[in-house]
Amino acid sequence: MEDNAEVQEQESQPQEELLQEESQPEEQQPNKELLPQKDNTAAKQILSLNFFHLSILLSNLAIFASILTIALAFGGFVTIIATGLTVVLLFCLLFFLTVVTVGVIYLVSDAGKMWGWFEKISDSGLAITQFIYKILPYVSCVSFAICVVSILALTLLNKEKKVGRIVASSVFAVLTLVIAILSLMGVLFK
Amino acid sequence: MNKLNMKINGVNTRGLDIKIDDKKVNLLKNKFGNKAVIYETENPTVNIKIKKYLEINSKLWLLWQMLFFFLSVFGIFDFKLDKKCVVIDCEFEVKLEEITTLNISMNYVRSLEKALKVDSNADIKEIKNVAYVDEQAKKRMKVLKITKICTFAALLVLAVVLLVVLL
Repeated sequence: MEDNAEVQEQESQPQEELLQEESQPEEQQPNKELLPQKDNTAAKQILSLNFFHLSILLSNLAIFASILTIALAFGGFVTIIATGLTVVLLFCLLFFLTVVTVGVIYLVSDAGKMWGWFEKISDSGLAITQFIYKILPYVSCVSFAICVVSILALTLLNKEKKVGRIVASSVFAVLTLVIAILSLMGVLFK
Repeated sequence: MNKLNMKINGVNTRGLDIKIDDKKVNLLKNKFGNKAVIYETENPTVNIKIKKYLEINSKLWLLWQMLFFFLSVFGIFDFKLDKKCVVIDCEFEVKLEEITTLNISMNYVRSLEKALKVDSNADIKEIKNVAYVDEQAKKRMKVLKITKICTFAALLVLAVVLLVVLL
């Protein structure tokens, strides 16, 4: 009886081992399939988050660059207008002084001083304008390029569409393009 | 057809991944400024999964962050990363009524035991609702801060040296 029992135990052991061996791969397989999927999902989510960050950053940069370009373009105009106005005002003042003030020598010396101021102001105004005129084509082209890149990033890289930003970037792109064309043609400040 | 009106209040939705029945849903701003989504289904119950991922956990994280640092002109035009580095992982099962409203608000600021506070007119089975501080992300934030400061200082020194040499 004992011998029989031993034989039964010996026979049963390999069967259990076989069962364990058969069952182990079945349990492990789904886990192996699931784990990389989870990691992939997280990695994809984080990557899309990075792209979102990048597109928002580019649109921020585009808006800043466009505002800078517009300010420069207007700044050039403002400088011209301010210089012109100062010249006109100085002329008026000079004329007023010439007419009203009695004494030719005094008048001439004062007028000389006035002329000096006028020259200084007009020179500095012209220098600023010329500098802006020189850099504006580059600045406007660069800001237009940033606008275009930001629009592309906002539309292509982003699943969540930021309509407001896309519209703002488009408007700025058009404005910077107009400024770029005008400044390249030499229409501005000439 | 059952309708689920889900609203999320007081939450920075950046990095938030919301899935209803394993379908990703996009949140839209409603007229009150809350992020909301309307989901329609024939099913009597829906499974909602909400997870928050951190940008700093991406592959090549330092390269990405330094690219952002330079593109944003030394961080001037950049927005701040989540300094708390809290990750949330939640899963709910909601038995839908004809019209179900679900108001979700963040709770992890007060305690990390429960990430989200959920109010609803329907029965909700909470499967998972946890928030935890990602220690690896916190370490990375420190490394990033130090790297940014060092880069800025190095560039400043370089600019000064160049100015001195050129002028």
